[in-house]
Amino acid sequence: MISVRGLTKRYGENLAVDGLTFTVAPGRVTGFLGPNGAGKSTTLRMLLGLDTPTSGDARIGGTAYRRLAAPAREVGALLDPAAVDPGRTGANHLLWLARAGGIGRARVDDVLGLVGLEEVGGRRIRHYSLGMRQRLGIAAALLGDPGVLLLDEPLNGLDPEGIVWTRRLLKGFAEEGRTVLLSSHLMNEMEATADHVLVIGGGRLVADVGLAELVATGAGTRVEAVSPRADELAALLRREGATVDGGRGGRIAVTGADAARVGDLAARHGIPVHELVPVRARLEDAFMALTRGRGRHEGRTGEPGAADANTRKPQGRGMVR
Amino acid sequence: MTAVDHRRPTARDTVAAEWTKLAGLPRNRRTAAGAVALALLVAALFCLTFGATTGVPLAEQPVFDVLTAGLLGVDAAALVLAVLAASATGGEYATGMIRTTFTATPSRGRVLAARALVAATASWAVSLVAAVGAALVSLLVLWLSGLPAWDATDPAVWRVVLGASLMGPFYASAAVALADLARSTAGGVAGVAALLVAPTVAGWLPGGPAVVPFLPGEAVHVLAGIAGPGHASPWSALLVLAVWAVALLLLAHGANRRRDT
Repeated sequence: MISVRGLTKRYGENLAVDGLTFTVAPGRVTGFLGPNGAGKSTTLRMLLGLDTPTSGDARIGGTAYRRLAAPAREVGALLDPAAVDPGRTGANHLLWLARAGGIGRARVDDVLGLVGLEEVGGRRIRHYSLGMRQRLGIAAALLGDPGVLLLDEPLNGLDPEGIVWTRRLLKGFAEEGRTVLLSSHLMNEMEATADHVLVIGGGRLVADVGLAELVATGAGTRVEAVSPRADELAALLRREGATVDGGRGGRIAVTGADAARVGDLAARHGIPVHELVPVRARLEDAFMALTRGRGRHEGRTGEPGAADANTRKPQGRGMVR
Repeated sequence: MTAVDHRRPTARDTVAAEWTKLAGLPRNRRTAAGAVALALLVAALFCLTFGATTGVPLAEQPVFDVLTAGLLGVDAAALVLAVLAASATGGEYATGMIRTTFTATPSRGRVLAARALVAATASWAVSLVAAVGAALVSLLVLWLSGLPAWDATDPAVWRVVLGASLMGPFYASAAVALADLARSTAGGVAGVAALLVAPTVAGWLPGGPAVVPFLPGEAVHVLAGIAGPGHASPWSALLVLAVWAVALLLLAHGANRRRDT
C-alpha cells in the first residue's frame, strides 16, 4: 500500500509536483501515466526518499521510505536500468545489493533465474543489451521479495517478447496480493498492463480510475464505415441522431450508433457497405482528452508514446478530427 | 527458491556491500596491483638516482636516507589509490548508481562511513605491501651497490615504513569525502591535489608557515620520516590526519544528508 498526501516538489520557479494525493492499493497493477515532464519520476524519487518533498508526504505501508527498517524487503524499485557500473558483472551488481539489504547470496542466483539471466550473470554489464539491463534492474527490485514494486518506465526499450514477459511478471505479482506501481508515457502499453491508472499532468492528479472507466470517459466508441454511397448513409445516420464525420473516399466515422445499427440501417436502404469497423476508444485518446492543457511540455504531450501509437492505428487517419 | 530471511540490515551489511562494490570491479583490482608496481618502480628510480639528484654519492649517504628515498614510491601508490577511491564514489554519481545505493541503504551517513572505512582499509593493505616492497627495493639497490644495508632491527626503520603506508588510507578516505561533496570523481581528485599542495602554498603566505604543521601534507611527511628533525611527533601527525579525515567526511555528510539525488 502506497499513500501520497499533498505531495509537492518545487525546483525554484518550477512546480514539478503540485499537491499530489493518491493511494495505490495492493492486488492490482497500477499504471502511473503522464506525459514526459509531468512529474512521474520526481514522485517516484520522493517515494523512495531520494528527493525531499517541499511539502506533503509519501509513505509505503504507512512509513516514510527512509524510516523503513529493511527497505529491500518492503520495496523493490527500478528507476533507471542504465544507472549501473558497466564494468561490473550482473551477479556482482546483485551481490552488493543483497549485502546491503542483509540478504543471503543464494538469493542472487534465484533472481537471476527468475528474470532469465542465469547464463549471463558472470558477464560484465557492458555486454548486456538494453533488454538484459532492464531484466537485471527487475532482478534487483525482486531481491528482497518485496510487497511493493515501484518501476519507472520498465517497458521502455524492451522488445515485444520482453514486454510480454514483464507484463506477465507484473500481473503475477499483483495477483499474489502485492502492490505494483509502474510509470509510463506509453499509453498503448499501459492499456494491456494496468488494471488501474493514475494520470498526472503538470504535476497534478488528473484521474484515478479503473482502466475500463478511463477508456469509457475518453473519446467515445465509434464505428467506421466505408461505402460507395457514404453521403447517403451519413444523411440517414444523422437523421437517426448519430454524429458523422468524414466522408472523403467513402469513409465515415460514426458516433452515437453501434455497428449493428449502422449495418441494419444500410441494409434497410439497400446501401452497400464495404467495411464496417467498431473502434474502441483508446487509452491514449482518453489520456489526451484528460491531460490537454495540463502538460508542462505541451508540445511533447502527443509525441513519443501517443504519436507512435497513433501511426499504428489502421483506420481513418486524416479523418478523425 | 530460497526464502528471504527477515533480518534488518546493519552497518556491517553496508560495509560488506561497499566492499563487494569496490573489490568486485576488475578494474579496481588491476589498479591496486598497478599501484604496488608503480611504488616499486618509483622506489627503484629514486634510490638509483639518489646520488645524482643530491650531489652526494650513494656510498656517502646515510643508509636510512636511501630507505626514505625508496619510500617515496609509496607516495605515488597513495595518489593512485586516492584517484581510485575518488572514482569509486564519483563514478556512482556519474552513472546514477548512487540512487540505487541510497535506495538500498537510505541512511546516507552510514553509506559514507562504510565507503570511507572500506577505501581506507583496502588502501592501507595495498600501501603496506607497497611500503614493504619499496623498502626491499632500497635494500636491493644498496646491496647491488655493495653498500651496507639499513638495520632491519632498528625501530625507526619500521616506523617510517608503517608511517609511509598511512598516506594511502588518509588520501583515500579524503578522496571519498571530497568526491561525495563534489558529487564527481574530478572534484575528489582536485580536492586531494589541493590538500597535497596546501603546505607549499601556505609556505608562501604571510603567517602561513605557522599553520603548515596542521596541514595533512606535512603530517604525512612527518610520518614517512622525510620531514627531517625538528618537526612534530608522529603521534601528533597521526592526530592531524585523523582530524582532517573526520572533518572532511562530516562536511560531505552535512552537505549530502538532505540533498536531492
